[in-house]
Amino acid sequence: MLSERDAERYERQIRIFGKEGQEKLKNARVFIGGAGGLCGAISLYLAAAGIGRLRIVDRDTVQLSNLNRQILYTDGDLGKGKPGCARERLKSVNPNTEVEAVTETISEQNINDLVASFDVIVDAMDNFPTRYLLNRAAQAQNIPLFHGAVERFYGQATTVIPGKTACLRCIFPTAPPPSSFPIIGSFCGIIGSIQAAEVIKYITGIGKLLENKLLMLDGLNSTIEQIDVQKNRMCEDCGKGRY
Amino acid sequence: MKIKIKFFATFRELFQEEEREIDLQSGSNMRDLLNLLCDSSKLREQVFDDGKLRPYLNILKNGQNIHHLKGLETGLEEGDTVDIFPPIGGGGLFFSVFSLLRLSGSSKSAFGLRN
Repeated sequence: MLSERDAERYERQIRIFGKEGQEKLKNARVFIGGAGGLCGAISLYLAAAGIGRLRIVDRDTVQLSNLNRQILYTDGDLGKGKPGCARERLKSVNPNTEVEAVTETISEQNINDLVASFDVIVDAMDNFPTRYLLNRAAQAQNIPLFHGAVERFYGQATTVIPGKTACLRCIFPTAPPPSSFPIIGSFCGIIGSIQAAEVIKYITGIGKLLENKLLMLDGLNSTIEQIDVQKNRMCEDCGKGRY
Repeated sequence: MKIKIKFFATFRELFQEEEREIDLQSGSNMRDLLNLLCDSSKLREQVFDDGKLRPYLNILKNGQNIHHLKGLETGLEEGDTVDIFPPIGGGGLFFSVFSLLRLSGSSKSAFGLRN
């Protein structure tokens, strides 16, 4: 049940999806893999929107070179664990959102426990091997996965609904070699905001999701396009290939 | 037969266009198309590695990654759309493309930078 304060706090969005939609956000449990640039926009907007519970998992500490894009953190956070700093910041944005900070490396061994009982998985990672772990866990536990990635002036996003849409492995079958890539922070903000919007739409049941659509941001030319993508029936993560 | 090709991310800068329509002979496949598109050693190097398609490059025929089809031997038909783009968010290819453009002196025009 929403309190009077909640009704006032979320009044501008309750006009869109009603108190029922706001209740759904309040009851939602969202897992975010990665506490970097994408996570900033994702978690700030989800906390502000009144998501009930966020779990943020990352193994890193805040570095000076993170601060051009990772807007959850300040100079005072340097050297501290990212999930804990993220928790403090998000609690100040919305004390009603329960934020659980987990300082761990996401691995094949712990991923299924980490996402168990969550309604949504958000991919805020910076590498494909870990994205594939999120993808597999999403398929295994039938949890929607909200993918986003950024590099240089470009970004992409898609929404994976197990049993219905192409999964990450269908679209991107092979991981590229790991690397440290350049990035401008505001493009993390654009893609992270799109991911947060997809999560809010999914939970409240409004609008059209990026199902079987890969959104492509060209920040250099200020354009956004969608590519139609298809499920691979033999996919090793979501198709016959996994059996 | 007419095939529509769409480039995304740094491949727009590398190929210096966003979209192109190509008239191919009937019976052509993805290898024929890429050979036609990669008309310089600079472009070939970004798409091929020792004659093989770079595995993490994303080439979609009507939304299906060609790794799931027949790779370079994937057949093409009138009206097909082919999307081509490097990995975003965790790959090394972008950096090499940018470096290549910088080294070739074309980065300022390709990236719209000013002196």
